[in-house]
Amino acid sequence: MKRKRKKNKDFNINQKSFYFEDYLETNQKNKKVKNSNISQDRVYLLFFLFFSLITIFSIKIIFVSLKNLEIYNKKNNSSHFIALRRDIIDRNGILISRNVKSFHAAIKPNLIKNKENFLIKIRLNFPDLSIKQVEQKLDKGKYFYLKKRLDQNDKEKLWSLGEKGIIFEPFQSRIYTHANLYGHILGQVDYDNYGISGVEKYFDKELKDKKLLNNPLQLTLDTNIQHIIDDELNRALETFNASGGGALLMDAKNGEVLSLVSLPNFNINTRANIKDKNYINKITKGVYELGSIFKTFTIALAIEKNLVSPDTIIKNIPRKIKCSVHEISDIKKFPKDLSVEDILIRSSNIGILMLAKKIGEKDYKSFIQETNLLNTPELELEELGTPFISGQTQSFEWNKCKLETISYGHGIAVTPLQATATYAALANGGNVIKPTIIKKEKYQDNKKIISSKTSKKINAILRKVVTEKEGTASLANIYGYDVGGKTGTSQKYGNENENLNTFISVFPSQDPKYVLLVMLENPQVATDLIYNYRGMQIKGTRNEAGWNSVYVAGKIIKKIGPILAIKNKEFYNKHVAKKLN
Amino acid sequence: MSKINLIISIFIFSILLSITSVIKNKTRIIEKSIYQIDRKIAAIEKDLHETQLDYFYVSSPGYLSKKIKQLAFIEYMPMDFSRIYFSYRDFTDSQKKITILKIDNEKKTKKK
Repeated sequence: MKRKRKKNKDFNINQKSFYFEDYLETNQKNKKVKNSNISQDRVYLLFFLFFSLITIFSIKIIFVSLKNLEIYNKKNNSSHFIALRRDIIDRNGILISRNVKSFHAAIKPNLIKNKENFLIKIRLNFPDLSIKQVEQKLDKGKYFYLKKRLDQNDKEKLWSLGEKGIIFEPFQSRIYTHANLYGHILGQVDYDNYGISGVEKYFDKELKDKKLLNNPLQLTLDTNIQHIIDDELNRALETFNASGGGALLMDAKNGEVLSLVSLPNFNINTRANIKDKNYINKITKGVYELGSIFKTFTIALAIEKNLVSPDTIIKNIPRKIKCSVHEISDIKKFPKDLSVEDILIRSSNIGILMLAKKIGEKDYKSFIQETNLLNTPELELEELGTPFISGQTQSFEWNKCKLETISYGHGIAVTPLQATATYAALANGGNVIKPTIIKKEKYQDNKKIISSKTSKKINAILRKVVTEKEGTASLANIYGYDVGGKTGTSQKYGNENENLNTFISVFPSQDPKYVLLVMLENPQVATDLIYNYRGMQIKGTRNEAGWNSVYVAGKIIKKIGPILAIKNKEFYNKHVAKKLN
Repeated sequence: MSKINLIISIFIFSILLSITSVIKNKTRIIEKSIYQIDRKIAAIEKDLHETQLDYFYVSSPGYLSKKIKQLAFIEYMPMDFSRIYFSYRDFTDSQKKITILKIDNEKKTKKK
């Protein structure tokens, strides 16, 4: 009975009423229900499986469509080329430097079956390669590079050899589209894409920044202007048989460098290891006594201190002055009485020296300090020179005669970059500018070294240096561009037999926008050259800056003037529209 | 009743099964085409990258002036200030003046 009770779960002791049912039928029904429950579970399970499958695929589709970039990231796809360094472009968006896929040719000696045959093939196709060295390396049996940085021709030649042992190892090569043109500015990278000089080194981190890879680094330089200046300067080296030269064009208002040329230059694509000092960046690294260029600073300071005005007559200017053991004199004989502006126009050493004495050593020193002429210049390049005062261990401990010599630009050596930046400050209303080669949205407002009144007076005098009969820079009087400037002829520091002729021009002189420096190292008299001097055709007989650097500057301004005028509305309206009216 | 349920569920399963396979295939096709397009894009991008480099090289002022010299063209000279015209009207006006001057000169020479 107990067994039965246990078996029959529905049995209840307290149950008072009974009904009878067919045991077989009930049992069969229960079985069916039980069976159907099992099949329902399976159905649910299957349903769940299909549903989850659909969900997985749907999610994947959504994932593919929405997260496309992450799945098909360029990094995961070997066919995508990802540059290791950013492009470099000029101010107009012209490409200057870019990374491309390139190849090294390496050799796996164990894969080369017939070594003799291989060496003969190499000798025939690459006669420049040292076959002995290749043979020795082959004998060692270790993996080695046959030729690095293959060009297309070399690659095809090696490919056609059909040797299994030649491995084309891919790497990224930095290509400079303008070869020599930016040699001194861009610098170079090594085989591992690390910047080793110039902009490439200075901005190495920024150029490798993966977040910025699609944004090129924009320089302030203008390729067209750079080419014109480079071309003219190269011609000048030939015409005047000069050993080197340099030119710098700078925006006088914000210090943007539009062109920086230093000659001789080199092709940065060839990766040559140059150790010759003549190949330094003469504008930023070279430190020179720039001579009479400094006279403008002395006059500007004298006017700023209200010691004189441009019309003030300095009387009884002696022919010679003795200072310690030095005897200071002028190249030419000038009248005894000269106005302050005449002193600069004629470039009188003694006149300037007398003005410097009026200023005094203390004020002159503080002026030099304010102009940063004795500090290492600031520019986004690694190659920067440090100025110095000859015979001095410390810049501001001046011995006897230093004030006198520095007033006309002797005994002090600075970089041409600093001299140009100081001229820009004098011409732009007195604001000290920080030269830059990187395009910025905002430029810092800097301190003033002279008032805008003094600046206007200086600009007027500089203009007269070009226009006046006694001026030293007549050859730069290019119609329409209102050029002003100052020449400097000096002996090269450390080599008194060599001249350094410089001309710094500002234009348009009423409200200068640009400053141009042209410098020639040891130029000779150009006897074959016929100058157009104040309407006369004359042959070259002289060797001062006025007959070479000024001549070159004039030619440059004539060519770049229209380009600058086109790009500068204010300049265009003022100086081009006037001609039409 | 249970038969109908079974039929419905089988019907649903079969639909789901077919949808699943369709979706799966579509996904694969899409993936394949994305991969192919991506490869094509990569190739085009590489071409563009190198073509841009070539373009900037062959259009660089240094290269152009070399070519000009090779082709023996007259060297480009800066335009004289007096010969810059900013509109067609300016040009015609100055040409008129020149022709008037020329006619006057011719008349004078004829009289002489």
